[in-house]
Amino acid sequence: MKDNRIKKQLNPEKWVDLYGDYLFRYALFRVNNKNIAEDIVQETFLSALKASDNFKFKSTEKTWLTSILRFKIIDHFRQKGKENTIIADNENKIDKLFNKKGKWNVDVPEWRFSAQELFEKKEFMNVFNLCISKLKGKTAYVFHSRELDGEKTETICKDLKITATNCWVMLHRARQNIRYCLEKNWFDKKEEF
Amino acid sequence: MFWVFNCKEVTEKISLSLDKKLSFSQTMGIKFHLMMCKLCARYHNQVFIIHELTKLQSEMENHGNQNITLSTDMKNAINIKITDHLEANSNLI
Repeated sequence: MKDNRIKKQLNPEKWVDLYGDYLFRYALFRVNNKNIAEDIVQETFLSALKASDNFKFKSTEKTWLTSILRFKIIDHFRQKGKENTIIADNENKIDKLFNKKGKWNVDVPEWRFSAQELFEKKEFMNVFNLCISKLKGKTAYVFHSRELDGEKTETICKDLKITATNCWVMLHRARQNIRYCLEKNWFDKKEEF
Repeated sequence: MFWVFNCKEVTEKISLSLDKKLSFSQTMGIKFHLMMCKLCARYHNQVFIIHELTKLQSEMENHGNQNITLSTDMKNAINIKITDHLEANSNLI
């Protein structure tokens, strides 16, 4: 019974041919390692088979597979993040950025480089990606979907079954965390930059 | 008329402006605050740098590397696993 339903809605036999390359590029770009990217793609297809009941006709196969892949990539980074000595985001510290009147409690040092200039520095982009990897759970998912995949907030909210306001709060948190992380792990350390 | 925001509120609105079109009075409220507040102006700049960096990153991902593909061996290996799984499940019926 179950399998008949899978066959009606999904075509797992064609997945690799249709989406294999796309998912592989997507993963490879994020994780920067061929073997890991291959593993992640394989795991994505196998998890998708097991979770085929969760597939909804509303989304396309490709979107659905991509969202599973995204979770796999986030998992990978969370594992990797544990091995890294990067100074993590700290919710308490972020709450203390402002005083009771909503004014800054701390200095906000200037970043003297443009996005393009920073993008060209490999070492910086490595820190940048590690900072993104420090985001946790749903916040990580929301940030990846919104910023890296350009998904609309409404779509993300539906995927996660959360309200739009909740989504915006998470995005704000994510940006605060990444900014803080970059400041501590790059700008504070590289004054000459 | 426009909104008068404190720094904490402005940082929230800056983030929101990347995800949603703000009202005219909110946008003016942000602009007015940024003119007066050096720290928030820097924060604003930094959040936009982060936004720009993610855009540069995903552009490279979508338009670069079209010739990078999953190896044929890997494709075959995954297909075998998928077929195995489907067969194992159909035996249950």
